[in-house]
Amino acid sequence: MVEHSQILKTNDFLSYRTLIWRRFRKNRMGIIALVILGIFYFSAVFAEYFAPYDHKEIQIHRRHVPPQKIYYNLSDGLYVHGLITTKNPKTLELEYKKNSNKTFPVWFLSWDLKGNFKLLHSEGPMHLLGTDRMGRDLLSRIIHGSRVSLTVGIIGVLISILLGSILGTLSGYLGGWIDHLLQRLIEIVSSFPPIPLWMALGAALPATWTSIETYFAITIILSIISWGGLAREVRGKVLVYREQDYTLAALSAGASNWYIISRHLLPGCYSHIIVIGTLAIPFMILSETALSFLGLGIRPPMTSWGVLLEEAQRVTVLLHYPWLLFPAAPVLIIVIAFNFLGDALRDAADPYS
Amino acid sequence: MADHLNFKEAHQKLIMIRYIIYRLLVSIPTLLAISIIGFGIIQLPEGDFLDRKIQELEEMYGDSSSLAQIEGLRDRYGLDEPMWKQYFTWISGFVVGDFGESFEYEQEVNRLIWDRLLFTIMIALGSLLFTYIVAIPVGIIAATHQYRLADNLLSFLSFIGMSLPGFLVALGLMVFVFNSFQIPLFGLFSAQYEGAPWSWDKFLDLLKHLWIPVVVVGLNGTAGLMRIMRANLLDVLGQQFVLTARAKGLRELTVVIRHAARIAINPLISILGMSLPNILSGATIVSIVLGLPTIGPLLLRSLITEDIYLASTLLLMFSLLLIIGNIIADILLAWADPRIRFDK
Amino acid sequence: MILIKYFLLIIIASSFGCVDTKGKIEEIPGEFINTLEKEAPILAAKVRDGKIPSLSERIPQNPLVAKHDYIGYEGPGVYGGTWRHFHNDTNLGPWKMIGGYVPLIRWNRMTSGLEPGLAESWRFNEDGTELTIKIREGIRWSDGNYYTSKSFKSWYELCLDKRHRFSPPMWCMVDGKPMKLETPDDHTIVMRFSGPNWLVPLWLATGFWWNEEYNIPEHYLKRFHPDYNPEIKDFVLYEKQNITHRNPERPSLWPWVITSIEQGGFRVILERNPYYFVVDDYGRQLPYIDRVVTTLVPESQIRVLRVLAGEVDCQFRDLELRDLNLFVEGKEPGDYDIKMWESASGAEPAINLNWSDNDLVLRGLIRNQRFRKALAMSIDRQKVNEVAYKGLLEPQAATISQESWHFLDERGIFLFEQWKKTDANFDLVKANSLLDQIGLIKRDKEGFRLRPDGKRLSIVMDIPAASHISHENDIGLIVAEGWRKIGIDVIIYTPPGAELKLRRDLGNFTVHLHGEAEMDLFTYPDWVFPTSGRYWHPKVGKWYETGGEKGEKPTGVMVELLNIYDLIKKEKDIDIRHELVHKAIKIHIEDGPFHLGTVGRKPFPVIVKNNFHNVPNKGILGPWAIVGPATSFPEQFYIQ
Repeated sequence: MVEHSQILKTNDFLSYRTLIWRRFRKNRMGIIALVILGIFYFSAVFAEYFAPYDHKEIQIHRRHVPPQKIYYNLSDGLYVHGLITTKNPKTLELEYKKNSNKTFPVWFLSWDLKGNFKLLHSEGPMHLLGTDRMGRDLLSRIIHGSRVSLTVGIIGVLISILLGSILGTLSGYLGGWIDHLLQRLIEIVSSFPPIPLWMALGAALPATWTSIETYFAITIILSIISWGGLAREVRGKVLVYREQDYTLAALSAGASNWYIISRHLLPGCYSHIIVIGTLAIPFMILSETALSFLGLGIRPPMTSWGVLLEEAQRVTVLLHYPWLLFPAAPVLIIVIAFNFLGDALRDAADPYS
Repeated sequence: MADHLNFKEAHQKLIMIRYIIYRLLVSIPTLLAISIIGFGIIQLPEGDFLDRKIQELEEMYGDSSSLAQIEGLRDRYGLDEPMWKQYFTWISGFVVGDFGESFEYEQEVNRLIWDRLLFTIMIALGSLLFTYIVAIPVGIIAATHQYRLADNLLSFLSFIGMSLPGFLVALGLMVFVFNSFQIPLFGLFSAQYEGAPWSWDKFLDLLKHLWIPVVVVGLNGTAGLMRIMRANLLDVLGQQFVLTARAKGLRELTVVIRHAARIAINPLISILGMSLPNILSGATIVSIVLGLPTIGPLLLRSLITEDIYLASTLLLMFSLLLIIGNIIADILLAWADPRIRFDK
Repeated sequence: MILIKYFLLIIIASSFGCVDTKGKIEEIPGEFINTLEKEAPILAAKVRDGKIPSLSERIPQNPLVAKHDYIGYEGPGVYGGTWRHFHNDTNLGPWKMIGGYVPLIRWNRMTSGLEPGLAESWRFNEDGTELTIKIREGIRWSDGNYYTSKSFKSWYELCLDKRHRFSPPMWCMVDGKPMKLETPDDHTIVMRFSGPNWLVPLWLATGFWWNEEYNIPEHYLKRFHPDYNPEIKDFVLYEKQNITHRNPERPSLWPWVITSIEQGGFRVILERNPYYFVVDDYGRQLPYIDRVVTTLVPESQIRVLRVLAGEVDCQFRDLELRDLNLFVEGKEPGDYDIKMWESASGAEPAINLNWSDNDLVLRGLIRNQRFRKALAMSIDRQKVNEVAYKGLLEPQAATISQESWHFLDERGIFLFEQWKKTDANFDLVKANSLLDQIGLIKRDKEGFRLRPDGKRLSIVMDIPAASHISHENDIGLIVAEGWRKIGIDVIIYTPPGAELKLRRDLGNFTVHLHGEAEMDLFTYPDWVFPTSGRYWHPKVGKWYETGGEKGEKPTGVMVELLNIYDLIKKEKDIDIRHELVHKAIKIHIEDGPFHLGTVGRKPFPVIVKNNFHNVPNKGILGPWAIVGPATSFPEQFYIQ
């Protein structure tokens, strides 16, 4: 027998959003993903404090240093070893050996030599992910690069989702000449392969804009152009739902079009929209990588994960300095996190699955 | 009674055919619009083909011949003419199958494209096939084992697949294969078949080399598609008729595949048309990285150099492929889901 | 990540069975050379079948004998083999630098003088207004027709023909008047100028592009000429058919003739020219190698992999120094050796400051010698050397090539050494004090100096996008770092490709980078003399180029330099010409630097398979004008 008070509780009016949040909370992976994304975005905002080194500092005596470990023992606390550097006469590259005699302490949450407050810093070569061809600390570059990579795609995706869902729904539901017109529009707009469009636009934007301004502009333009895919998806679903019994029932009961759209059709699409939306963000990040590769996206001296990966795209790196491929990891993590998030949101928002 | 049914079927078929013809006719203005827009966008960047050419020559040779010779070229290429005139020159050639000439390669556009089109289509179709053949079963497995080990593992793998940039995978794969197996897998043919007339052996050789670009290009798409398949199937499995089917006592496998999957595949089919641009873009980048003789590198180069006729033709061709893809997708959608009607 | 790839690999690779081998090379048995065999066996067979005439009829009575005054020459070679090569652009420029050099007069290998090519001799009259060239008798085109003075004549006719896009090159012009050309017989060319024009033989020998232009196979092209074919209305088809690297039907004088171009230049096959007019010491017709296959590989990393896989027999260009360690490691498995040639560069890259900057304040500063010196002294060249070139180059001021024939004598050597060192030291203290001396004392909040007009001293540096020339990008960063230390705010600007070039062309830049390598200032003076709209003198050079119609009128030092160059053009005695060059260099030392240097003398790794012989151990590949390695007669390379 269920208690009377409990019955009352479940009959209390809870808003749709609260319901979603409650369901979302139950999904552990979703929560973890949210936390991870939170950490990434937080460290992107406060990059100066999280990055152990100045990501722009060129150190020619520390080029292509492999990842270094932090050691701990009871007497010294945290420390790193110094490095003995030799130049290989044949390959003319620097090679490093651990200097067991020399150690440098590692400080936690304090000011470094230049007066900057850092999470972690040391005088010695504390290069947790190694250095690149100019001796710049890779971890610091990744953290600074996350600023660009994490923020630039979001706006574009939001615009894309908004445009796509609205127009797709209208197209599928109203049919007739609106449908045809929008269909044609979608066709025209989505028949452009994105790369050439991006190139042409990248070349046409005012030269006086900085790299980041240009990139924002292009992202927005491209997202306006890419709503087509989502619109088509939504239209497809709406076409099906339109013929469903509950829709016909609602129509005959005198419900307005808007009511039907927002209460019956769209919720069925939510899960779809969310999945596509969360897939779109990593797609934006990957697009940025592709474009940096072609020299059209973010360009040095600005850093983004795409730029870092582009620099890693050499045979010497793949064979000799594979740690430079590490920026692929945060890309992966972000994508996975967004996907789990998307999944969790879908499960929470769609009560029918 | 039988006559009545046959009539209905025939009626449906007629509607379908009318619809196809209608779509084809309607796509012509679309293509026209695209050709105009594309033509314009290509010329947006500063300067024109000759400016670039001169600079390139100067960079390479340290000499750019005398100025007058270059002005002569300008006239020959019609670069000073207003854009609309250049456009009409180009369009009017379509009737005879003349798509203009490429300034860069100094050859007719259709000859240039034809040679490479075949390979591009092979890579694109191969990737598409790969994507669907892998993603659908994997998506089904993941959905039917939701939250269990198989699902988590597959989901994890799909995330990895989705997030690896194509060019990195391409290069990495080539280096990996080369290092581990000492096999150079460059280009689309081994040295002995390059330039040789077509034969069964040559075709096999092509397949041997083709799998790298196909897999690399298809990887992103496969992972993404698998996620969508999984999401769709989960949606469908939660619906009433599935419960009914299970209650009826049908085997789980039958329920899933024969009934649920068919419905779940629908949106995927409508995506088919949409995946073409992604596949082609992916193929472009991968071809550039791997140096393959396909459309991709040709397009990139023609856009950079503002080789207007070549670039416009290529853009138009891409668009045509996409439109055809969309039409096919819509038709497939209608065929697969009888609930959709077109005559409203 | 790796596991996935491995997994996929196993599945797919196993389903396709074992994979192919590396390309096969035809091997010629036998170790000693039969010096009685004067032509390739393939050709000898054709002679027997009556398809081509015998050797004595195919080559001139006085053929050109290939010189081999270099270390690396092993001896006369065997006939046969296929040379696998790659190019990165369908224009085949790099290949033409190897097998596309058939001028009337040639540069010698060390670019220290001229030697006969298609011509067997040439001479000027007393005052340099008339040049007579004698062509070897008996040279034939690849289709068997004789090569005569008609070829040169028809080229010049095209230049004068307004319907054709050619126009007389500036070396044909003296005081604005084009030369008069006469061909008294099939083997004599006489050029008459309205004033002394001593540099013409140099021009005839320079680059592969000029001889490509003036060697017209008029017997073949006649059918496309509107005057000879009533059905042809204009020169459009003619021009098209005249392009060597697009038209395999066009007869050629090259050692290997293009026989097939696949897929718009993706793959080009060249086969030996049965009528090639060059022989070895024993009178054996060159080339030794039968066939060349060159493939388009635009991606630099794929080129690296191909080299490592041993798929290239001999490659001179399109290899990056950055990948040197990979090449070195791959020598044994790839079965090749690396020969270190020279780029003879004086600055990799040079930093060009726009003498006519659009911003008047900046222009004033740039024209102030102390400002330029300060900029020069705040470049950490050691850093540049280590980061971009693994320490292989030499820090120096921006100069032209050290191997240039202007600096072969003692005085020249001394002068060059002086030039190299001027303002090339890294001295931030001195640089800062120089800027203080000019009066740029005020600074803003962030420590950057203020200009005389109160604004922050900012300089925009144009750098190509990283993905294509990444070491220039790195170098730009290091230079910017140095300049920031003396209080100048550097903004790095990386526009997409074409725009960069346009800014350079129109002179709308402040700073840009460009590699500097030049062996002969007589024909390519513009690193030192402002004679063209490029490098550090876009607008003054334009003025000179266009005869005063466009650009900016030169003043002061620029006028001095241009006057010296005008004297050079008119000077008969080559030693005096070298002295005039020295005079200009002194101006650069005393009133310069006009453009800043970083590091120079870049080595050029050349990949040579172990069975590929007669390649010189050393040579110069930098400037294209001197056509290396063609000046070493690559026709005498052989495979065994």
